Amino acid sequence: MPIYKMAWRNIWRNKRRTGLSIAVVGFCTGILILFIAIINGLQEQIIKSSVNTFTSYIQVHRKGFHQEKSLAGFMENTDAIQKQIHEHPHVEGVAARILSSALISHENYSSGCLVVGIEPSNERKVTFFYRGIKEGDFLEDQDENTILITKTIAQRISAELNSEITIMVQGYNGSLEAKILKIKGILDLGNPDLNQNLVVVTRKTAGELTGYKNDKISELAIRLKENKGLQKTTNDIRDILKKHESFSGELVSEKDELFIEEDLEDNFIKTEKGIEFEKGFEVLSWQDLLKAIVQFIQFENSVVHFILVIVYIAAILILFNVFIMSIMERKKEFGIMKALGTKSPQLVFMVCVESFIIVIVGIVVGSTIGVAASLTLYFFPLEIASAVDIFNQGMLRPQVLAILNLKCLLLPIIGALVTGLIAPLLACREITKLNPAEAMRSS
Amino acid sequence: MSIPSSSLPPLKKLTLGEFQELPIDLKINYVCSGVELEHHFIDKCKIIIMLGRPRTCMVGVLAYALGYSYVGNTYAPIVFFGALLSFLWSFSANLHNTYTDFKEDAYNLPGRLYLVARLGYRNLHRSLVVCNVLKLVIAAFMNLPCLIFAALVQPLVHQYSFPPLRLKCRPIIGVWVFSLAVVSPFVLGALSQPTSHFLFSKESVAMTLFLTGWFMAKGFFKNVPDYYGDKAAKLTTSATIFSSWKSASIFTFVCTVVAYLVLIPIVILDLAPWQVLISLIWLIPVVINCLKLIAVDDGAKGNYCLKVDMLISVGFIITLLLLIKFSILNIVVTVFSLFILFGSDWFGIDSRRNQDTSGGSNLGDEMIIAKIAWRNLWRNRRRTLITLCVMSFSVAFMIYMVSLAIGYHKGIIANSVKAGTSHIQIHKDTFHSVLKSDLFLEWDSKIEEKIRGYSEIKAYSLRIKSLGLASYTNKAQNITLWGVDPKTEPTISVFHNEAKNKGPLVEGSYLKETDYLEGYLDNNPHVFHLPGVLIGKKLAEHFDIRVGSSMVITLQSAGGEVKQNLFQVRGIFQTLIPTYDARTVVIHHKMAQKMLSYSPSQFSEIAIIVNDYSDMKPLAKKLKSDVSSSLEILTWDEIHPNLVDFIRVDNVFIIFFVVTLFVVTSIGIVITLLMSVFERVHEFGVMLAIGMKETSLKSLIMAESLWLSIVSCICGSILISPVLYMGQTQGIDVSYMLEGASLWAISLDPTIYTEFSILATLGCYILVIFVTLIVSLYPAKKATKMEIVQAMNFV
Repeated sequence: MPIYKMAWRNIWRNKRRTGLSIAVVGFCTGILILFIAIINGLQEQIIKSSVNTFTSYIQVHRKGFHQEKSLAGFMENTDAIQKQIHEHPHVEGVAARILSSALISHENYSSGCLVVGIEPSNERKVTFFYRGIKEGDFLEDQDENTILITKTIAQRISAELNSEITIMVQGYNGSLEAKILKIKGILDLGNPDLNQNLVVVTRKTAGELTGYKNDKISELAIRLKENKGLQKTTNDIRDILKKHESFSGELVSEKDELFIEEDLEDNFIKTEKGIEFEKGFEVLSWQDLLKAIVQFIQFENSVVHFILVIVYIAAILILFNVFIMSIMERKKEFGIMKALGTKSPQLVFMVCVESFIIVIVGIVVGSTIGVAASLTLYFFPLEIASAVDIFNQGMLRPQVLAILNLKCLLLPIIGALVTGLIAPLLACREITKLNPAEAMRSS
Repeated sequence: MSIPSSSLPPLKKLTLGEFQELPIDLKINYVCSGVELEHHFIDKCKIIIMLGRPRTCMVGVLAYALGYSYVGNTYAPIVFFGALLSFLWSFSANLHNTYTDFKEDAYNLPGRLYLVARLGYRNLHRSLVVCNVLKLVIAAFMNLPCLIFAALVQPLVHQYSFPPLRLKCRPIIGVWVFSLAVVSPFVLGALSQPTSHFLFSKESVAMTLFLTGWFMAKGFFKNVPDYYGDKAAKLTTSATIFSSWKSASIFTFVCTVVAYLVLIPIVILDLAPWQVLISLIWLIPVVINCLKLIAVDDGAKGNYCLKVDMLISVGFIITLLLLIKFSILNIVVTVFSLFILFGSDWFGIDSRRNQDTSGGSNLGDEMIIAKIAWRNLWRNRRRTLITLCVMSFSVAFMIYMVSLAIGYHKGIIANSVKAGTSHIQIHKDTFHSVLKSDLFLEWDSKIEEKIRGYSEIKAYSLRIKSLGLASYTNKAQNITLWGVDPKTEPTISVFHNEAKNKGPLVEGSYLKETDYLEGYLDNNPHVFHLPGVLIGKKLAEHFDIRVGSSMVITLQSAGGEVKQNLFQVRGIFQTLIPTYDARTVVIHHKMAQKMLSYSPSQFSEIAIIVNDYSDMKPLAKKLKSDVSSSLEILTWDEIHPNLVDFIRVDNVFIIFFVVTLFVVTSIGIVITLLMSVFERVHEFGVMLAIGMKETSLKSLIMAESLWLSIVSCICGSILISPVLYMGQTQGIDVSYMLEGASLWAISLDPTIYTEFSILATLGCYILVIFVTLIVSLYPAKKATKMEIVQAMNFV
């Protein structure tokens, strides 16, 4: 079909202009691929850092625990569930945890904190916070009466490695339990929020403090082999747990104990909610747990899309100008072609083909450069030292690291293709308006 | 046409052309013979104004306004007299000059001499006397110091031109007297209101000295264009003492640059506000103009440089004036001065016009090129319009992004300050990072006096902070406890603001003065009053409690014992920082003191709000040296390095975006200009063939791109202004982000407002114009690189 050939020859009639048009498209595509890849890299690192440091991919609790965070929301006899979850092909590891707020004190200083009872060998398979040990050692399964605290808390209560501290917990039945524990290690978790709050003991110690003993836990943390099947695995686990509702133990109500003073009508006791927990489990993926980060990323993505649109609007206007110029230059030519019987749609088609050639070449050039730059940044990431909150989600320090995925490539390329489609169509009005007689006379 | 010199009748009416043909001696004779060519009073007045050169007088008026503002005077009717006096100051000096300088004018400015002939020699003398008397009368009318000052300086001005001293012939002292044209209005401005302690302040003396040096440099500059004329007339000026034009102009160049740079040490010595340094941006045109002066080596072109220098000086002094005080009065003065400055050519009221100078000139070149460039642009209307569209779009976007960034970042700071951080916090030792209860401050009268003594401090409040545990039934939460003074705390933070006033208090009310009391108040045995507490929404949800419920707070006192107390929830606040809402509990400071076993004068924190953010750093420094070096004095940015870093990262993001958009746009500009160049190859060939210089052709193409950028700046600004207005008044609501907002550093108000900044917008304009000029170099080079013959054959 000669139209393709004509278009190809036409665009090389003005090499400089064609080159610059390709440069526009290529630059937009290239820089945006790199930009989106960098943003993508940052987001993945933030999520990885947060998920791997403490949150884990999926958490299982007693229904309502995530909201209430009360000791009343425990799960009982979970060994069978744990085993079943572990058998799921996507699951890499499962660890049980006990969570409770506590007051720790050393000498004259005290600090509120979140005490976490872990199974050290299982926890190592699920999260990496054992790597955050700055001084001392991580816990062992058989450890008793030892504790890991963060450096911030250590500073706050003037404690050092091997100091003995007192920990106080209000157990799930309301009684106040205290223990003297020895500091076995000092942690730096990279997240200021965790650093201000977290102390870690073994599940056994925590069980004694909270009154959970060996059969109750507050949380199952699950690690997946890869992030890909997150939603599916979450649903699968939900299905598994449905069969095991009875394992969650009997409904616990402390009404009897707390309503003793009913006559006094104290506000304390009036509100029952928060003490009772429904039967059943809640299975939450990190997307449900890290709402703030997910929202941050959503907003960031909308900003990126906005930038994409703005840059391509500029590109469309520029290409529009180029096509207007190239059509006006060839007015006479088009006039002759029309006079010889070429139809307007054919001419429009030719201009569109010209545009597509430019855009395709631009995309090829641009994405080659963009991909090359992204790959360079993938293999040689730049370190950044920054105090920005979003970069401090865990022990992984975000780097300027470009991670390419389909989205990074598709968005800019689609943008460029749309540019290549809209720009000539806007300009082609000139062709349809063309009067052959007049056009041929013009010089 | 030539007139035989001996046969000239002395009183014959000559036209300007005939006059210019006369030999030098006869010109002077002709004028001194008492000829008076104009008979109408109005015409004579116009000539007097022309000879007084109002354009040069505006610097004096501006200097007056500067002096008036500099000492902090506010508007009073006296300014009009002062301005008139300052105007007359230079005006009469110019008349003096004309009266005494016939010989030099015969060489340099024959046109001016002809004006004197039109006016009449004697009339000039009369107007001189009237002017001088008027000056003293106005000064007397103002106040005594002004009169004394005017009377002291008047003889100097007189002797500047007149014998026997004829100070203008003494190179250095002459230039010093010349500088009085600016310095005396400045001093007069400062003296205008008797209350100002002008003479005694270091700052004013420094400014006076600076202006003296600065205008002396102008004096050197002014003498350079007259170099050849003065040399021929054997006059000694600051220029003619040099052996050549070049050395004189280089000397001027050095003096001028040094004079401007003196501002830097003045600011470093703290004798002037820092923002005056912004006016140094004028150094760029100054240097360019001085280099041009060195290069021209010709009186007429030198005069053009002088004219430009005058404009730069006025620009500089206007910048200085507006930087020192941005008031309506100063804006009026500025507009008026600019009007006179540019209007004097239109109305023909300047006696140093181009056509009056002896040499021919090609000063209009730039104007012609600008005009041609403008017309060229509109030869292909559609292409230009589309290019303008792209550029305006980028400019609009750039302004918007910059305004958004400024508003957003300011909002981050303002919100975080209002959310309790305040500008400066004072603690003992390392309290901020450890929050240990045994690190407390003693608030005694000594510290109080000192803190109250700082004028920068807008408000301050004392707080107690401690770590503790809040519990309700069997739920517990570790918390940071704030003990605040309900009386002073509302002056530094916003937690007393209710949600309906866009405040964070969503339920209940703020703490009251009595919220530390416990027991049966007013002997009322039915109501047991508990101390009040404010808690965050997250904590309230966690405990599932409402206003009116009671909860327990456990603390460890400074002595080490664990204390518990029951509190009643008075109010619930909600910010956008989840950890803050979950962990912050606010109680009355007296209750906190009681629980921590502090005495009533012991606190853990002094929180200070300053009047202006720029005061924060210097005040912290002062506090460090004045109050105590052992205390921990933290400014906002030290407390929140994360937010400072966030702003930095955000800036990188915005720069990246703006640069990307600009690269795309500049490629667009190159395409357009290249196309327009290649369309006109034939035309350019013809132009070059008939003798157009390559540089002119280059400047023509660059002028086209300059027009494009200027027009797009204007269009872009107009385009974006409604959006900016919306952004500034209504803002962009991002509250749908909820928890994510805190990661975007938004802490209180989920609305992002844009903020228009003149400085930043000007920066955008400069960037756009600069980038456009740079990219247009390529097409300009293409245009000049072609072979003339080929180009002419090119169709």
